[in-house]
Amino acid sequence: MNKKSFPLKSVLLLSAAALLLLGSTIGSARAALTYYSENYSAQVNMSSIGVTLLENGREISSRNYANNGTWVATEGNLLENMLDKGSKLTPGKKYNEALSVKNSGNIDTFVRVIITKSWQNKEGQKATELSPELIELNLTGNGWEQASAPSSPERMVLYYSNVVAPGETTPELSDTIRIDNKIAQMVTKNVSQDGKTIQYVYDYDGYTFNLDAEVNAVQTNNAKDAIKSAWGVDVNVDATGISLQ
Amino acid sequence: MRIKMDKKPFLLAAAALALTATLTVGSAMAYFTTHATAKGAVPLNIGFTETEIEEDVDSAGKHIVIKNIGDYDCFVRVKAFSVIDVKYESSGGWKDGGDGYWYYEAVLSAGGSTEELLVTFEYPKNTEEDKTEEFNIIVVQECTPVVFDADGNAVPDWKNGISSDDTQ
Repeated sequence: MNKKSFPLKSVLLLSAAALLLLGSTIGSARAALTYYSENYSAQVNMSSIGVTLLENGREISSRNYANNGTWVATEGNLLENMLDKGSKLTPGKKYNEALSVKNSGNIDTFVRVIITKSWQNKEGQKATELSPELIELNLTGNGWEQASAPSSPERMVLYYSNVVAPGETTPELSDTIRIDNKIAQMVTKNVSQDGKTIQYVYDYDGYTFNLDAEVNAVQTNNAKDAIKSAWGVDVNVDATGISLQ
Repeated sequence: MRIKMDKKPFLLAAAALALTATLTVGSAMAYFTTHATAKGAVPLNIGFTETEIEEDVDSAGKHIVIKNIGDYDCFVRVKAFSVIDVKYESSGGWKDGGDGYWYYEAVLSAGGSTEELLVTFEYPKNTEEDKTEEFNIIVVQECTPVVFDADGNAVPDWKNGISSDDTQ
């Protein structure tokens, strides 16, 4: 008897489990509907996140949520206006390079910027013999906190500690960029055959320096978990903002 | 009758719970995030320039003008060597460095020329013979690239100077 009634129990349990599963699926499907449904967008102000990278006050790249799961993204180039027309990069000279981040969405965000610096040789290959430290991006502080762990001479990660409200632009994280003039001392000496003329040739003439910037933005709701999930870092969240652990 | 606990239903329930748990994690991960990237690159075209000396000799002395014939800005300095005493007269722009060299104070831009520097000399007065004797005034000119110090001021880097001399 007992043995015969057993399959019924297990069937009940199974269907209960299936129901539970179904229920949770519907739950998340509903959540998705609230975010993306057009019907809702007519009634409530839809949340959309957006971020824009600015260089010397000029918008370079952005990615903003539009609707229906679509994004509007632009990508520009950094350092385009660094040199005046016809002039050449002078080692040691400071050039304006003010990077900041604008919240181009309509929800509060926390932001971080990842800066990568590197050299390329004349053939377009990465030149590892030249230190990225020769590319000096002067950081200003200004509420930007540099993470020590994932940062290296080549890669810096900077977290802005305050909430960036919609439409707001952060203070500039850097002000100038400069190539260390040590590079001008790396020379090879050539003496002409008659010994009358001494010439030097720069070892790194024709090399190119690269500066890459990536901006990440994340919602401020449930910030600790959101940041852990999106950026993989643990932060402390308090009333004023975030700080690195 | 003893009720036998069967493990199957519990296992099933546990599996169901685990499945629902993963689903919850799934939806919790849908945080609002976005990102934007930009790249930039600037070539480092550094090089040494070439300078040319223009000299005119007349009764007043040697008139020296340095021309930058290369592609890069530079600083220049000159020094005159001779068996007899020479004096320098600047019509502006040149300064005695106190180390035997006369320095052109401004940056000599690519394609530009310096102001004139006059090197004057006097014939030795002791004998008549000396007057007819020939002698050389050798002018050595050096140019060096413009580098910037930590404060952003343009400074010469005489360690890497390029020198050439000219004898007339």
